[in-house]
Amino acid sequence: MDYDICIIGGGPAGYLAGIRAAQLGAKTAVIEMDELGGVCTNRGCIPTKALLEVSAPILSSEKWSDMGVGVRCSLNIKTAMTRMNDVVGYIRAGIKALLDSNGVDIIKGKARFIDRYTLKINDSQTVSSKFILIASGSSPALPEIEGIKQEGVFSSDGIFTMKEVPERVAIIGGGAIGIEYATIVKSFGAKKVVLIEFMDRLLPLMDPDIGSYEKDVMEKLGIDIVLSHKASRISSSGKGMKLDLEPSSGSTAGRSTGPVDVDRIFVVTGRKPNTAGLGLEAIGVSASKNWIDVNRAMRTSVDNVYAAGDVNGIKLLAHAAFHQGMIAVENMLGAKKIFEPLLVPSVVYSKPPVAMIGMDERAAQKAGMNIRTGIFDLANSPMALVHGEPSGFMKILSDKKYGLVLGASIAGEAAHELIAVFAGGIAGEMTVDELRKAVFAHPSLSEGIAEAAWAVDGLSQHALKKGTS
Amino acid sequence: MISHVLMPKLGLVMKKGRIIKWYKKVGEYVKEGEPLFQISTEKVTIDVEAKSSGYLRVLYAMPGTIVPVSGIIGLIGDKDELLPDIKPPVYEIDKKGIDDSNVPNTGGAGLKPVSVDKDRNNDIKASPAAKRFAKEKGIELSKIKGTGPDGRITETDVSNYKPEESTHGIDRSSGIPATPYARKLAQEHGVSMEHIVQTTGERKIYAQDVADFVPDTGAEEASVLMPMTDIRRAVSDRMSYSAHTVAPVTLGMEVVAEELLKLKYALSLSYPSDKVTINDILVKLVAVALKKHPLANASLEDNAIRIHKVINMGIGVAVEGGLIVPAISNADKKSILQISRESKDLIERAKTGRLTLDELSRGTFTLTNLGAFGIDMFTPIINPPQSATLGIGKITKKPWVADDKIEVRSTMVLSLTFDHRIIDGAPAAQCLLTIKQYLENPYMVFGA
Repeated sequence: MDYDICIIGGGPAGYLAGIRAAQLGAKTAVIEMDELGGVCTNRGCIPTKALLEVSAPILSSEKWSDMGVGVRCSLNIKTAMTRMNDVVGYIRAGIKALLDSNGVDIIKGKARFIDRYTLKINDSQTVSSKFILIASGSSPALPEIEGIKQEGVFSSDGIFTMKEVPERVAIIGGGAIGIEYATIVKSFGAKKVVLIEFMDRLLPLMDPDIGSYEKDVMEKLGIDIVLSHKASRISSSGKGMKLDLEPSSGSTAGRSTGPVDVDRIFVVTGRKPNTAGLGLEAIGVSASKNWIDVNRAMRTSVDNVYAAGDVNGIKLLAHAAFHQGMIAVENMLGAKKIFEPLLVPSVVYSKPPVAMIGMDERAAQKAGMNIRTGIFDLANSPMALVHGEPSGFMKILSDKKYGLVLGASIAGEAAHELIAVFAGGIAGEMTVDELRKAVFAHPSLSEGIAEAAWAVDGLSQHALKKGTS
Repeated sequence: MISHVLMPKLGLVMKKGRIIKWYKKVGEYVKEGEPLFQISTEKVTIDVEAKSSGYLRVLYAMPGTIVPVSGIIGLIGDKDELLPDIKPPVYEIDKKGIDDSNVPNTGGAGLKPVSVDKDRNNDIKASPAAKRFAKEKGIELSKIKGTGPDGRITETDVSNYKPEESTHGIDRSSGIPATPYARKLAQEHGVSMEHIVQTTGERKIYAQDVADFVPDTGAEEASVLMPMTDIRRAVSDRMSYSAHTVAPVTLGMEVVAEELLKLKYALSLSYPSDKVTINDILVKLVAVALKKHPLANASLEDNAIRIHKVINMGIGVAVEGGLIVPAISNADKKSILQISRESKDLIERAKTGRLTLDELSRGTFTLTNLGAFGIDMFTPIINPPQSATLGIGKITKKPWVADDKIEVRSTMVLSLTFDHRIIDGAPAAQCLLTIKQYLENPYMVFGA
């Protein structure tokens, strides 16, 4: 055997698995056919955050002038894009350096299974390995819409090559990507941005309270939101396009919204696994609609082959991929670890952001659990007031009997960072008692966490006295 | 003049009462007859009135304090009167269900009451020396393993006892790393962390490890712990007191209820709005019958039997969470109509907790009717210190032999439980027979 562990794909699941495998003493190779870092680094998390960082001062200029600081923002989109690419390049180089320093071989090329121990790279080189981790990721999936193959229609990848800001933009898909893209193009100067969601609320996979908060955020930004609709047809119209919408089936939205005239369309509705050409049929790995089936230890139906990251379809998030990749290689080397989706936070980097982890009420009720909810309104947070962003909430879901923290939702400034308290807490099987015992700095947004923990029993101190919600 | 505020004795078996709240603050003026404090005791929570007027100067018992009968709980006197030098008494405290938000101050410099937590050491087998020693050292006897005969704790056991680390109320296993949730689970199931085997390969014990150790943690809750309310506890205490002290014997006798039903019907025609019940009629008839059998209307006191001259008929009333027995006074002398009206009033006030102490404690005999629940006969338990109680079954039609013919009759079964320490079987049977005669021939009360 050439290797102990071969990893197909150098994205978040793959490169971290490579480092972890090397740490554990395995002879390891990462096979990457494109750029190290995967979608996250190159066309996802990182570049969008780089652009959203540019949106931030533009969107808060009003707030600053309310505080007495006159700010006029002007955007140089070329500089913004260059910086974005610099950030991406820097991180990519860092990944390579990390793999090198850990002694992980990087093999450039596309891998295909010959048998369960053997991979062919670019139909030339052959490598053999005791264990193989499939971490080949996912790609944007474009839905069947008449006329979708227009020049002005882009997938989620299309924003990173934007040279100028289109005047009228439609974004199909009201999930995390759609919301972040809407924020970027609107703040960059688009006159009209329409966000279209099939379901009856934004962020349908998150806590409903988060969805309605996000709707307010988007509307405050001047983004038009069309819920319970889908795109039915795209046609060219004048120098732009005409987008026809129809109510999503089973929707109670009633009257259809009229067509939308736009210059550019981003279709960010879904993704598909990158399994084509891997030769999975040669080794008989089972998959569902091409997403590779794995157990909680990340093992596939073939016992020396594991799959981590987007390609198994469990949780399409870079940080989930990090964990799955590490768990997979540790299990290859004898550990008995499992991946727990409820420990994975979901974050949307709108301005302000929203975040959630664990269960929401729907999931808990479905599981027949006896729960309590505590909500703290950030309008009552001194720090939020100081920051000039007194909106949002912190919500804790706990089990009624023990106060075990089952989930949390945060909407408002720094939600993406504050959710970390719960990421650690839920992993450590924390109860609301610990959150009440913990001392949070004053003033800080984090104080709201303790308040929400008290609110579970209707005892939030910095909220007017009333029942819990 | 300084007067002592004492825990009143309400009823013969009352030994102690629990202060629920004070209506006056220290320094406030209270008029004689005004409600001064509330206690919970035998079956009810009740307001106690001030026995004299004056300023409330000192409190010795905060809400939650359990005070023996005649124990001092406060002082009333003039505003600036010199207070006597009274050693503050030491009482048990049971804060359960007490609203702490409004605890009064105690008043009086140097006269702070000393209260100790309920002393659980009393129920545990230990030598008196061990008990004293444990009390001195502030050790709970339940934590000590006794090595004497029958597990009795000796003084040596107390001195050998090494307290566990208990700064956080967690046992010694607090040194073992575990998640907060795992700890709570283990505590609930009474499992020490020391015994739990770590299986996940992590460095601390997770809930899953506890669940693996205690097989039923994941299952539905098998039981629910329901704290005892004051009334439940009172019923419980009285019932076990009764069961442990009384020598009960139950006699059963079937009676024909035709005349009772006729009388009820007649009363309903004359007084339709009063809705006289069979029970109202029984109260009267049984009370009159008791006049002939004074031992059934008596109570045992120390070494004497007290024969009550009055017949106060207690009626069992089921209330939320318990049972209370208000009594209709002089039931033998009252008309059925009067009894019916008083009875309805008592039941109504029993359900809303507005009975007076007198109404609750004056009973000399008790009637319990389970007929409405379809019960034919039962063995009622005696309401101490009374000497007997009568259980009434349901009225039902059945074949009955009369003049050697089988006829349909409405009948019911009476169950008389008597305390054999006071009455013997034969007189008790005679008493039941008299009751039967009156029930079958109600007009006989006119000759009684």
